Amino acid sequence: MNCKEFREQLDALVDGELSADSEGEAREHLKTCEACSKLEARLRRLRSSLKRVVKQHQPPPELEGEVLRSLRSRGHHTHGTGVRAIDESRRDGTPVWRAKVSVPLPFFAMLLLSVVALVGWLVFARGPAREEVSTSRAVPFATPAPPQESPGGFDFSRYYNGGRASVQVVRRASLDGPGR
Amino acid sequence: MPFKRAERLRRFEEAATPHLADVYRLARQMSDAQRAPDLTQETYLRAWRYFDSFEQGTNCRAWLFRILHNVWADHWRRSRPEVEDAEVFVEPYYDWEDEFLNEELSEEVEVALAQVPEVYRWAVLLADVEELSYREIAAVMGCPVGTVMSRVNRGRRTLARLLRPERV
Repeated sequence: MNCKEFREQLDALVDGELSADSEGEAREHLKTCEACSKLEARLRRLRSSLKRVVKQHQPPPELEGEVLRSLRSRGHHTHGTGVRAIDESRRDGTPVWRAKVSVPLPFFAMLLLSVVALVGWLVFARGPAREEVSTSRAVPFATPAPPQESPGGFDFSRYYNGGRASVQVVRRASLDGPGR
Repeated sequence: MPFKRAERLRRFEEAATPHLADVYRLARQMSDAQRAPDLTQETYLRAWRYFDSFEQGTNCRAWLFRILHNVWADHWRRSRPEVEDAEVFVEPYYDWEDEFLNEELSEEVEVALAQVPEVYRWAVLLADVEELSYREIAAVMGCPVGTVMSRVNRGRRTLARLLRPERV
């Protein structure tokens, strides 16, 4: 094995990924080549230095407790709620409208309940009242008052139009309300 | 049913909790100190959701790293991974790279590491710090083993280049 071949396999050697035969050849080369031996030692030092640098950081002491709490109360997300998702999207630079927003289950249930209640109110509370008005005032529709001749001799019949008159009656009837 | 859930939770905590610090540290190197706790927590919540897909007896730490990689890609990755050559290429180390790391350099190493492109940084951290096999790294990063070799090589050489000016 020459220096070029050794240096091509150096990563695999320090990572323990060489076959037994190849590793044996590489170790033989190390015995005879000072430059490659130095390089191998430095790469190993880089590895241990990296490990030390990364491992010096400890997670915040409360992190484990927070993770376990959210797991135990699972499946309720403590993260990924709407506000946080939008906040993240701002930080990431992606448009707010493309943020993945997830609504917490209780909030979604309340929203659904509100919609059902509103629809129910519109159908059942308002529906019959309108019907009542129209039925109680059904008479003027059916028998519109015949045009009367005014005492002053003005002929109302010239202005009488069945359709329009009935609309006026309905409008007045609804304004007056059922109580009057 | 509650007993089943409690048992599942117990098994999950037993398997996954010991690796929390490792997940946090990796998350920190791939993002920053502020976002690392969020990434860690999201990783554990997702792992809990998919715990049934975890094969008992396999490397739980590597499985968690894989989930962290996905969470990180969804929430943090600044750019799409660069298009790599189809040809896997491992370059030999050169003499001028002998210069790096004659002595201990903690702070310089961390600063340099942050400058290594993300895709190479993942490979170097998983190989050097977490000491995963190339096959395990391939599973974490979702790429072929040959690509892992290439990424580890490029990552280390980039790091060596970044550290070299400190030595001159």
